[in-house]
Amino acid sequence: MLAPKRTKYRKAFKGRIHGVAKGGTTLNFGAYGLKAMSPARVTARQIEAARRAITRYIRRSGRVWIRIFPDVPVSAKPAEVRMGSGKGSTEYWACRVKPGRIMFELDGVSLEVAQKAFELASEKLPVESRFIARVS
Amino acid sequence: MASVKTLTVETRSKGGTGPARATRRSGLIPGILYGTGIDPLMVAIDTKTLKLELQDPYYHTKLYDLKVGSTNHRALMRAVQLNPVTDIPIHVDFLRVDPSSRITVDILLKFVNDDKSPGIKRGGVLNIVYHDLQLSCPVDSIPEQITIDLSGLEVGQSIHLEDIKLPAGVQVVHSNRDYTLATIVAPSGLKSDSSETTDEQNATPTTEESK
Repeated sequence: MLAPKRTKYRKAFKGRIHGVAKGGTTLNFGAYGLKAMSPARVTARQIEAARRAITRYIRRSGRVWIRIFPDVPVSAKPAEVRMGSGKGSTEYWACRVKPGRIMFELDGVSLEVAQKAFELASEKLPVESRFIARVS
Repeated sequence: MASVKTLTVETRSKGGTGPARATRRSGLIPGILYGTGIDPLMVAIDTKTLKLELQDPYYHTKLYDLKVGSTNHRALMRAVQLNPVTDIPIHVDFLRVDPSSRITVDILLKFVNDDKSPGIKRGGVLNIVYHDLQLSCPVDSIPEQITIDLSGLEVGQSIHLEDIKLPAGVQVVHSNRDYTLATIVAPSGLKSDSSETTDEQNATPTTEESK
């Protein structure tokens, strides 16, 4: 699963997701892409599940690019622990995704295969998404 | 020279966010026409017409005759701003051009004969590094696209800038750099046929940082 190799700080504020994506809104690598249409925190597990759904469907042909990276540590307290005594330890890593952000790109497959692969991948993600293709 | 398309545009008097939004509400897309030393002119173009033009992959290398009132301006669609979520155009830049001058434009690269490439036939994937190339060319002979032949290419081979033949009068802007335009890369299946069961674990994801 994706996670940063090292971080400057061990824990982060929860934060909020405001507005729309400022960058990463156009296709840069492949011919097809999956664009987020709503804001959400996408976890590393969800990214990995979506990636597996894509690679499984395209049967190892084609090429996949992941355009998001989970760099926000999300902490949680253990079960049955009283409140207080500091923030819990990092439970998982997540990525704040804003509407408009291209999350995955795909190339080397047909349009129909790409559409179906992204349909399966979008089922694994907590954001509304839409399929986009390069005009050619 | 490719055919020149005529587009009718209206002028608009006020600039800024509010008037631009009002223009969009009235079914037009705000834009600007500039270049050749003449004062910039704020224009507005019909949304449907612009959307139809954007369906053409070569829209940014096509010459347009912009009909503003009774005058015609020969121009290129230099930049189109899109809404990041809906991809609906929100602003368009037209660059007025002098037919006798040279211009720098991004020309699309078209990769052909992929069915004649043994590497792709074996399951290799064409990894396009550059989808377009910045070229300097005369305004009256802007090439629509640069065709790149993939026939005979094996897995691991790549196409460089020096391998392609450009039309007469067309020059690469950054010719000092040796571009790799595209490579044929092996999919995970071709690399390790023996480890079929563990392909999902082996297939390393390509993140944006690792390009």
